[in-house]
Amino acid sequence: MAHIGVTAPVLELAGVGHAYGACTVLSGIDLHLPAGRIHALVGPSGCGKTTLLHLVAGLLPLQDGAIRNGFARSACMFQQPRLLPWKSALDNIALGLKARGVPRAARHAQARDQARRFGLDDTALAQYPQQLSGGMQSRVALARALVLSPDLLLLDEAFSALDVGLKAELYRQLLAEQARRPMAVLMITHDLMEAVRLAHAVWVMAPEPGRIATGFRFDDAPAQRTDAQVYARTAGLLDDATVRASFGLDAPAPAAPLALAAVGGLRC
Amino acid sequence: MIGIVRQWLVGLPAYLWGGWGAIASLLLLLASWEFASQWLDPLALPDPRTVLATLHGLLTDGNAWSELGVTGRRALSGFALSLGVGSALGMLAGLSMTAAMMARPWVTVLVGTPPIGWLVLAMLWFGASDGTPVFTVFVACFPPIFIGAMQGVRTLDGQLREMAQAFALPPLQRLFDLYLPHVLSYLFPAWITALGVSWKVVVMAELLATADGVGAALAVTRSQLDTAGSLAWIVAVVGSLLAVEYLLLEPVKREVERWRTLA
Ligand SMILES: Nc1ncnc2c1ncn2[C@@H]1O[C@H](COP(=O)(O)OP(=O)(O)OP(=O)(O)O)[C@@H](O)[C@H]1O
Ligand SMILES: [Mg+2]
Repeated sequence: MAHIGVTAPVLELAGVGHAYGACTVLSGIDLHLPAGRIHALVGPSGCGKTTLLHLVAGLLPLQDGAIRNGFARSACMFQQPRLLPWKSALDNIALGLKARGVPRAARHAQARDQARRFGLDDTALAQYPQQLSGGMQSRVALARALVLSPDLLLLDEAFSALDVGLKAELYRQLLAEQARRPMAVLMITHDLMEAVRLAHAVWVMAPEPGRIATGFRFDDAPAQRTDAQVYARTAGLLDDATVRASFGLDAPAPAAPLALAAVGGLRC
Repeated sequence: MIGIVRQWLVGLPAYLWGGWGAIASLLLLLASWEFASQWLDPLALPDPRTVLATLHGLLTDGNAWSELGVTGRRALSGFALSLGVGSALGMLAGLSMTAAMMARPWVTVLVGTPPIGWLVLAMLWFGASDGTPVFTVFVACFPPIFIGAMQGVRTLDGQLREMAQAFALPPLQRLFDLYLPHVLSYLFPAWITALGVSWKVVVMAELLATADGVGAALAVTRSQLDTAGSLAWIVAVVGSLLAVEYLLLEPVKREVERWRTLA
């Protein structure tokens, strides 16, 4: 694991809460995300994951608690692609670079580079978003965030519209990018296996109000994890009573639950 | 910009070819006119050939071009002023809920005041100068453009606005990459409506307030009971409006909104 110096930036949330009108959707969220780490947020639909991500991105005013974002450059991928319908895929990917003042030729070259790695060819890049498939749109949206080389990457169900092959490829890309530089990633997902495969820590949220019910640490390097390990850990996670309660599943099977610790998971 | 001009030139033949339906329906109108003129006194409704011959005469002796030029200049100046001021103010008003709410009654007042009322005021303020028709056109064109721009900004998807904020788009980029492309689909129809208004209002203003232009020429034909001459001028005005709208605004609109039709 990379050594994290004392000056390395962190994202720190303390007692964060949020209410839409009279409806409290988040309360008492604490989170500590250092550089070079991937944290996954899982939880039932509507428990406030997207709200939390928007608070971190500064898109919602902070009502309660404190957020300290020490990262200089963050980029965000939304749950919906949110591409500009009047711009080609290429121009959409280059949008953030344009905002930073990167000249046209350079930003197009960078955007094309990023797109190729995500399996988007020149035909797709010349098209408007409505002409692309859902999976292509979400890759464009992911490329638009990653091309900025962020220190903090916020992902809201980034991989949910992709087939298994593409998912595996993009996981590899994300981990490779992360190996190159200490990028912190906060990712929301509905896929426990995805969380267990990629993340150093998985936070399980419970609804009404949205709060962190429990968390698990996996200290090995994600790139090194085998499929068998991932399956075992996912099964262990799904056997956990708190996790099952958060998702409204029945109580765990009476058969001895697979000890998560045995496959490298630590409750935190 | 160069790209748009080139696209316009390249797309023109196909566009004109696609206009056969419109031309056929215009010819049908001409035929009904011809039919009606056979039953009516030529003083009430001369047949189209007489009118077109009169128009041809007006155009060949060179007089009509200068009158049309004067009228076109006034209409387009008022229209351009309205286009600039109305679009800008409308977009600004759309950005703020308060401004939008405050602007509504003003626009209702503007819409409700008859153009002839503005014309009388303009005659008092500007006399027989160009200012009278230009001002009247400006005021008459302003409301639809202002409302179009305001609606356009207000209907922009909040999710895209949030995205622009997350990617820290600077103000100018926000204007050109986010707001304008969306607002244009509200602005173009408003501009086309306003262009039609400008043509009508300018002729009315000239008829009452100036010594030259198509409106003044119409005043002369009216006093001479020259129905064919009046109709010739009307055809000239309508024809020039059709030309400006379908040869200029409509193709530009198609090019700017290409993303919409491709989807
Ligand atoms: N703009 C809003 N105004 C009012 N209520 C909202 C708003 N956005 C979200 N909510 C409510 O807040 C709650 C949490 O929403 P949020 O989008 O954060 O859920 P989520 O955990 O991301 O769900 P999902 O997994 O389905 O994406 C929901 O009950 C939702 O109805
Ligand atoms: Mg969500």
